[in-house]
Amino acid sequence: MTDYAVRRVLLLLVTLLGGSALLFFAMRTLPPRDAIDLQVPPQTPNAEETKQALRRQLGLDGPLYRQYLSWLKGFFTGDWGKSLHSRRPIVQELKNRLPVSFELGLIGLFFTWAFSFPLGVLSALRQDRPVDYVLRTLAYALDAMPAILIGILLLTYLAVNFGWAPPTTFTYFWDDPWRHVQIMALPTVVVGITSAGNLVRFTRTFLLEVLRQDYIRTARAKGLSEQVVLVRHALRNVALPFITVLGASVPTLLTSSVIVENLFNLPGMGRYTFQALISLDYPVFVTTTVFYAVVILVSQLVTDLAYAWADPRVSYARGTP
Amino acid sequence: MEREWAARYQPVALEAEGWTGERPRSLPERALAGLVRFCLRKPLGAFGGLLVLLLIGMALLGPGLRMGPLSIPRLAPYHYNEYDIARAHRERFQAPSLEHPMGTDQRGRDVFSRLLYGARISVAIGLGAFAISTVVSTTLTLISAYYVRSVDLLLQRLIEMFNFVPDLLIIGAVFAVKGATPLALALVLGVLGGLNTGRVLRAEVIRIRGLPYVDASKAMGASDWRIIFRHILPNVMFWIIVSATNSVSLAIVAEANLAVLGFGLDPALPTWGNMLDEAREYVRQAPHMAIFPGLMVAMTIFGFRLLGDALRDVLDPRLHGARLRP
Repeated sequence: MTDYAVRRVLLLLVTLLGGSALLFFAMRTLPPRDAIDLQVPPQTPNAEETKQALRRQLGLDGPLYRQYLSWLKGFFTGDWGKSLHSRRPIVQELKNRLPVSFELGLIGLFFTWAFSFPLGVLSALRQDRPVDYVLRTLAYALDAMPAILIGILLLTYLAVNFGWAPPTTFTYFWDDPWRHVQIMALPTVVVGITSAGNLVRFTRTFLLEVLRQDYIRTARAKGLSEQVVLVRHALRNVALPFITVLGASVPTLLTSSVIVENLFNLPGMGRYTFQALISLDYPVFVTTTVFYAVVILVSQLVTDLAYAWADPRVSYARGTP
Repeated sequence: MEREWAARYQPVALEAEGWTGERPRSLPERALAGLVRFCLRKPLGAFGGLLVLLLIGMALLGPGLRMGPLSIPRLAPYHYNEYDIARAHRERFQAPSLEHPMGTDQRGRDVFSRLLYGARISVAIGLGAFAISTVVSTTLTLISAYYVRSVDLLLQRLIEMFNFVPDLLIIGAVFAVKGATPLALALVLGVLGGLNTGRVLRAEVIRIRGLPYVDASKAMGASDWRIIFRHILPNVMFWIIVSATNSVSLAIVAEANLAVLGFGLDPALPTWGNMLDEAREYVRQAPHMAIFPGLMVAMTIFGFRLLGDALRDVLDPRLHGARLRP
């Protein structure tokens, strides 16, 4: 077990180093221009010299590998650098933006859970009856709607029927609670609904499988009421895999927020990274991406280790990384 | 040995499958019978298949077809970029009518015709991505997961590192070099999707690889290739087919996402994503501009999803005999 953990951590470090190097060099060599080219308009006098001076000032001259090493050193020592455009420190921006993305993901996850678990259970209990057919069709329909579609259709519906649109400028909760709720309501619902259809189907299939098990028949044979059988014996066994699936969807929630944040103009992490990409702001882009990758990889590692620890059947011997 | 065993047990197996001793039928006959059986057993899946066929028909016939001597006039009432500047201010934002079944857009162009042209682009992207991703994920994963100790260790690290680079950067870079064409998009989405579905397939292959029948066939002296193609591939085939149907819808969603992010294909092309993106500005004047492309995207994914799930139920060897109806 210890061997396995050490091996996984070492592999994680290798992946991190290789991945960040790949990302850094891709970001610096693939685009035909760099951020400085965007800042200095071509018709300014001495454009080339101004650019060179700016590059020297921002540490963009010199060999690429040395720039990568200095970025790496900064990343590990907590000196994450500044945006090339706004010159604002990245750490400061993260402090403002992480809560927005986190709120979006967390409330979205809550909506998913609150929506899909009860409906999935209901659908399984009324198997092959009208309720079940309606719910299954609904689940399939929701599954067929990507976040972007739900977002645009919701905005259209509200604008046409109620003449309502969310406020365009963002406010934090502590500045104006009601306005904040108005802004966050639609995006969180969209994030929540997007994965709900899938989870309704998952809950239903899994509960049906559990209800067919021997221990459920035993519980019924003992004369327990249907309610006790359901709550004590069946639902408990469904809850565990359900939580695992929810946990596995956390990275997806984080990354899908790029679309939702851009659609609803939220100043979250996804939008920050995306704007850094289109403005070729490489310190911001590389740092935020690696930050996310660390979060996702570490959570994967923790899940795998927890599995290996809890389930002796998971082989953590050599050869199955 | 194997043949002897088969000779002894075959009659029983065939009888169990309902074999009545009739003359073996020809391939088209059997295919037709299989199709009818699938439709009877999985009506929802058959409905999904119908939607998919409808979409492919739209893509083929909508903009008209000209292949050698074969020439079919277009189904779309207008060209996708047909409008009259002088009358545009009167003809734009029209609600659905007999003349324009899905209304007109901000320049007075017919939304229905644009949807038909867009269907061809979406189907091209979807099927292109589907073909590439299936080839990539199948070959790479089968080899990698079978040789877990050598190839896999390296390859998995490489894929993990590639996962670091966000798809948007890769797509942007390819567009910068190759231009924002449907072909380039299908290529990138296919490779990226292939690497992703490969992860799940890999776990499945590793699981099967440890099963007794693989050991048994190894003990009988079967070569690696024989084990991979005769014993492992048929058991994961259902998985490959299901994720292939998924990759079509993923590619279509990706096109729409990219368009709304401003990273999409050439804005002059009438893709569904571009139409959705344009509609966002005119939500109040012309909601139909958003609704119809949205419905097309949803219908396409709906069809592929139903078909994929039904195929999984029919093909998954582990679900045989179970009365699960998802």
